[in-house]
Amino acid sequence: MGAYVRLKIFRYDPSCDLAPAYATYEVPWTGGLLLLQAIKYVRDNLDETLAFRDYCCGCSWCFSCLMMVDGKGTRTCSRPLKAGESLLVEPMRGFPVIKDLAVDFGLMITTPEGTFRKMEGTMVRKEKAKGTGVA
Amino acid sequence: MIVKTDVLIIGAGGAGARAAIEASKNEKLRILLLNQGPLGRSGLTSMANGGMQWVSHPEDSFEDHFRDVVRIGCYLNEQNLVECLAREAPERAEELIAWGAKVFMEGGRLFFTDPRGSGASHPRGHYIPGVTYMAALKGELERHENIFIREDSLATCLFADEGRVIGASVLDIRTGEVFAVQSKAVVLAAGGLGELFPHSSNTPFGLRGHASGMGYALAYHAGAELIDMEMVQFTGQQLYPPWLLGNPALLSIMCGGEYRNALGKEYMRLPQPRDVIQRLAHREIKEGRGTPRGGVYIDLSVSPLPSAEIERQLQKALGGDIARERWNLIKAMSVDDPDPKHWKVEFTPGGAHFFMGGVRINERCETNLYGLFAAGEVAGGVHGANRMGGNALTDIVVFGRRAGKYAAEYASRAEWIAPDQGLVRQENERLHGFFRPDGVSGRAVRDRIGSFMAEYMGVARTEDEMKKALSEIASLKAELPRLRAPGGKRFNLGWVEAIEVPHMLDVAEMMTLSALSRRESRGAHFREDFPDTDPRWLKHTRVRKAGTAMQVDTAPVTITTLNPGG
Repeated sequence: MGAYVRLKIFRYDPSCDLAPAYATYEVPWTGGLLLLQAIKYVRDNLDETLAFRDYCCGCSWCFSCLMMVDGKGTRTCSRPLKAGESLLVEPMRGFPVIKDLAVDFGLMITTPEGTFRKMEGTMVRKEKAKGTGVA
Repeated sequence: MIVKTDVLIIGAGGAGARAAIEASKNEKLRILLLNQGPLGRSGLTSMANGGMQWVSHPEDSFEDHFRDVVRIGCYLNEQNLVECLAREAPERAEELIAWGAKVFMEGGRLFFTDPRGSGASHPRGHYIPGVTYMAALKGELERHENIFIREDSLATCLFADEGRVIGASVLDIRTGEVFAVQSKAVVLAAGGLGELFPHSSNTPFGLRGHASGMGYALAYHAGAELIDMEMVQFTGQQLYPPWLLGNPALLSIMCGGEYRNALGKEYMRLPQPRDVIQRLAHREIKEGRGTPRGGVYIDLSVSPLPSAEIERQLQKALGGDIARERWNLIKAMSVDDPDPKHWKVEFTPGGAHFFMGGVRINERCETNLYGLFAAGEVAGGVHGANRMGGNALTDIVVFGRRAGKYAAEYASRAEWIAPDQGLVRQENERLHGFFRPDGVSGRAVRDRIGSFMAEYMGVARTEDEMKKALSEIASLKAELPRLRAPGGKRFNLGWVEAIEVPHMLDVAEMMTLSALSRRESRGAHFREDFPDTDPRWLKHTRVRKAGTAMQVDTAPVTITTLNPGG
């Protein structure tokens, strides 16, 4: 029996669901598994209707994989998983949900602390900033 | 629903964004810019590692830049296009920097990457991380009020009328609505096709990079000519340490490592063109000298540099400061020994990196169809048979600007033509036809495309193997009527995949037929059964749609000043 990680994932289709719900999935763990890969595993093998932005720049640059993980804004492409871990995965807070984990980032995105400072000027147009950003 | 616009731009990576900015200078025009994902946070431009060539070194010249690109391209380049590339690059780069792109500086001067990495005759490679490059373009897009941007929107077909492109059918991925766009001019800037291969620098960790090759198929079905569809540039795909992305050739140059096979023997010394690096690694593995993971490795222990410096260089190859988190991740998670000097950086050849072929354009980015313009990776001819490192980021702004300029000129004197309602309805029905109770998923077909492309259309090709690829294509095409999309219409990426897959198969067929017809080896196209370059093959392969059949013939190469051997 191999190791698993357990993901409790936010599910919501605003066009037909009355309210959001959560579904739990178990993903086989292998060394070096990243959270975004585990979410892709769920979509490919467990529930093909799960929506998320499956694009990846591969360098923690683009932030299109930003989600709330256990209540904290996280780039899921850079979040390694430990064997046996249980995580709550929700769409990024402060942006309208399109479906499940996919949100509308609009024309700006708030980046986590630290990175924000470095990218100021090119990445973030502060005068247009809106949304609650990262906890 | 029909949306009317003056210029429709498909793809908002570097080329599409730059085209929109240029076209919007005519304030009377309305520009509609479509992107498959969020603007500036998807596509290949934003994941580009950042090498960008333009002439700025005092010893360098336009002539040298031109000559390097054509030589490395094995003379298959359209030389009129290469002249534009070399001459306009500095202006385009200055503009990007003025718009906020972050170029690396060292000691108050522009930083040059090591020219041995690209094979340039002078220092010419600068470094602008793709994400700041794209952010600069995005900021500029927002300053033009006549540019309308639709994110998460996928063009599914082009509408043509008697040799003129007049619009497109578009799926709004967010809502699942399909609508038609009627446009006076269309700029195709839909990017490359790395996703046809299982290993690709375009698809980190197996996730998507928005390089499905749709653009080539859209152009083909509208009646455009495509050239050099056999020319795929491969690079090494990192096997270990996991997540250490970046070009192995650069790592080796910057860190002074040696290329070794499983026996520990050094089998190659740099500098070498990208295609040679691939072929030599492929030979080692094919002849049984590959590592258990199926690769070869760069040995960093022989490096003259101290560990701390190697670490600094590796981190730089990942993207410097902004990739620090990923670097920490690599060190923490994947490597038993934290000292990079003890690492063996393993890679396998055959990771699809860039596509040199594509829609045939002239220096005004016009195609053979009226009203259709193309720029960026989807257009062919600039890089010939092999792209010199650092010229993709140059290409997209130089030709993006040209496409925008000439598309705007065309649109300002053209009239709208309404697409045939029957065709619009037919496309709508085709897209909705994927919702069926059972069948085969787009993902399953896509995986099978990847496996035969890697096996038969990779670094080394033979006639027998490519014929096997053709029969795989035929058997997969027979399954297309069963293609199925799961679930509802809203943000359904399974549906997007089902839409893409038939186009991907068409592109795979164009590539295989072109590769079969070129009975020689040139640049990235290596035939084991025809290992030499044949001067009689100094011509493009050309693909067109003739009725329902795919027709492959040849077309002459435009030579302006540099003859082979010159």
